[in-house]
Amino acid sequence: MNSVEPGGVFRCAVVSVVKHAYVPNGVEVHPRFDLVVVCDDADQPDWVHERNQLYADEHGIPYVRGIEEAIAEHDVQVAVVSSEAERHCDLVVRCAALGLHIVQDKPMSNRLSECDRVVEAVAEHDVRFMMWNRNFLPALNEAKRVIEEGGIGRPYALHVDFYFAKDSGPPKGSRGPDDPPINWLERQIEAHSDGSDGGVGVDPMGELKIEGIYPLAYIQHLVGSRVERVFARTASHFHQANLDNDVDDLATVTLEMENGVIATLCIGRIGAASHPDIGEIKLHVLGATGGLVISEARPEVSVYYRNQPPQEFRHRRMGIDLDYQLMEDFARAIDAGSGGVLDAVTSREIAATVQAAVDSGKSGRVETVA
Amino acid sequence: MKLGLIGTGSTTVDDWQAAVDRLAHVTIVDADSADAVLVDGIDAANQAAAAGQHVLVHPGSLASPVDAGQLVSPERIVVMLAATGRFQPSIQEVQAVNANGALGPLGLLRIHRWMPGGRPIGMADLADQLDLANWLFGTLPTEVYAVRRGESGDYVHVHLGFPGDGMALVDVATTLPDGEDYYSLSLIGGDGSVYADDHHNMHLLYAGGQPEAVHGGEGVAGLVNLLGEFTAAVDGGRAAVPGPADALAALKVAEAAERSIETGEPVRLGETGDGYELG
Repeated sequence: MNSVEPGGVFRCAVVSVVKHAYVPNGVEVHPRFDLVVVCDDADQPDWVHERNQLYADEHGIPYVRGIEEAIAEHDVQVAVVSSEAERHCDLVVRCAALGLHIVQDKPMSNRLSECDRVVEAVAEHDVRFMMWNRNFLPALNEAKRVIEEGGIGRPYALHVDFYFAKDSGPPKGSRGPDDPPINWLERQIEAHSDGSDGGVGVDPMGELKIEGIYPLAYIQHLVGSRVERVFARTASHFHQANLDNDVDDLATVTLEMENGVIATLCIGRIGAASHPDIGEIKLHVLGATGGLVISEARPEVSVYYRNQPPQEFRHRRMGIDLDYQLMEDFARAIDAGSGGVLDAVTSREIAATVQAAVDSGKSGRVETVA
Repeated sequence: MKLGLIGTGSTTVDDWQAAVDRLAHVTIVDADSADAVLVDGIDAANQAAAAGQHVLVHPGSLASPVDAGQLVSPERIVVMLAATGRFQPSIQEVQAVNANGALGPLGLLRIHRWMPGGRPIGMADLADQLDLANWLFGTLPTEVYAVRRGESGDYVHVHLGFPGDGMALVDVATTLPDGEDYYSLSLIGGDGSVYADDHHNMHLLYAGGQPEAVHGGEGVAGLVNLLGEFTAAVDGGRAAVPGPADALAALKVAEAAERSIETGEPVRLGETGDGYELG
């Protein structure tokens, strides 16, 4: 791998792109990042190759069946990993060993031991790592500014509602007595068409594991404290696929953090009928001298017209500069050789918090974060 | 109905008067000549009931399950909680949609109740909101976990588990600076959701610098609704809702929250349904 001069352009390999492709699409928004190749292991199933090939074709770049070969042949500095969740960390470790900086899709992994491997690999090979996140959405930027300017004093309680108003296959209770349980991977592959395949992979994952990184990253971004104890309630309340695979689609989480900070999370894939848009996503922050209430969707524009398709968003987010700001932050981290939002260590801490929440939901007890 | 105002809780006499003005069959009179009274506290409630007056008692004046258990409801006397939260138009709408089944099986309730003042959060403060949780879910929670923060205990967060899939997060704070309260309630069901929060109902005042939020309040409609239930119960010779049993239930959950705070562990409803136990 050739290094890039500060201010230069990074050549990026898209290392598997089996989900809806918001991560590589977000990466290429920044002028310092060029997608030059899509690659994956040759022994992957046909549906994986088909999606990789399609993405490569759409972007006019080659698809190579062989990750190491692709990286060697295409002079790559950055890997953009967007595979099935259970492959994320192994791909990251391999790319880090080749000296590549990493942008990884969420979740970090479905196993904490895999996250530990990433932390070690990133440190050993001195590469930068960023989990994809939403920390630079306009409303989050406003919240951070207000807090940093002392608008509410020292924050002591932070609450996030993070609902996705989407369906996920047949509703709970719809399976007939002779029907087999829904196969998780088949359901996720099917969900690709409407972009709700965030949990793609063989191992089933609930909303906490699939989406929990986003709201937990908000909490970490705004108050910066480490989570110590977790109490959670979890349920398969909406979707037959979640019930059949014993994973949550609704959860409440209480987080007790260092420095006495309290945080809570409501998260769920609550069905398309529950909200006219993507879902109610809000932050409530209490500080020593005030309170702050933030709607993550704002600013937005409302659009209504005759014969409007039901799937079309009525309220459309405006001024979103997330992709650019994330990649600008990542470019700065590469140039500086340190830093960056949602690095490997922080991402691993969030994955551990998610695991503690899942465990607490099953045990009914307070769990300590590993 | 002739209503005497002995204690008005945190609501002003002017607001009670404004509510009564909207009800043709209710007038405010001196307590001695009233056939119903609004009171604070157990002693005043029980004295009035013993004297044959119907009673509206402020739930905030009931400090514990022991207090609530001492409320006496003589035959043919209506004793009702002046639980203003239940009767706010927005909350009534939430419960109406919930009660007609439009939301499907309830999954998640979230309440934020933020106030100025800095006083410690007591059981009565918690019970005020926990009563709403009991009411909306139609049952007691089976799990209660809570944490308290602030040197004076001016912040409490309660995490509830209800039978089946139900869950709730409720936080009560008195750490806002002097000024208005903030309230937010959202309810997520299997088939739909309801959001009632002050954030959505804010107007903007531009008077230089940052615009000021102006709360679009619901006036005294909540008090009118409350008095409507009270008078209907009296006229119909039936128990009013919420009554003493609701106060007792909410305070039991609040007491369980206090126990969870002390131990740092969740407490669970015992098999008999009478109380909460560690473990």
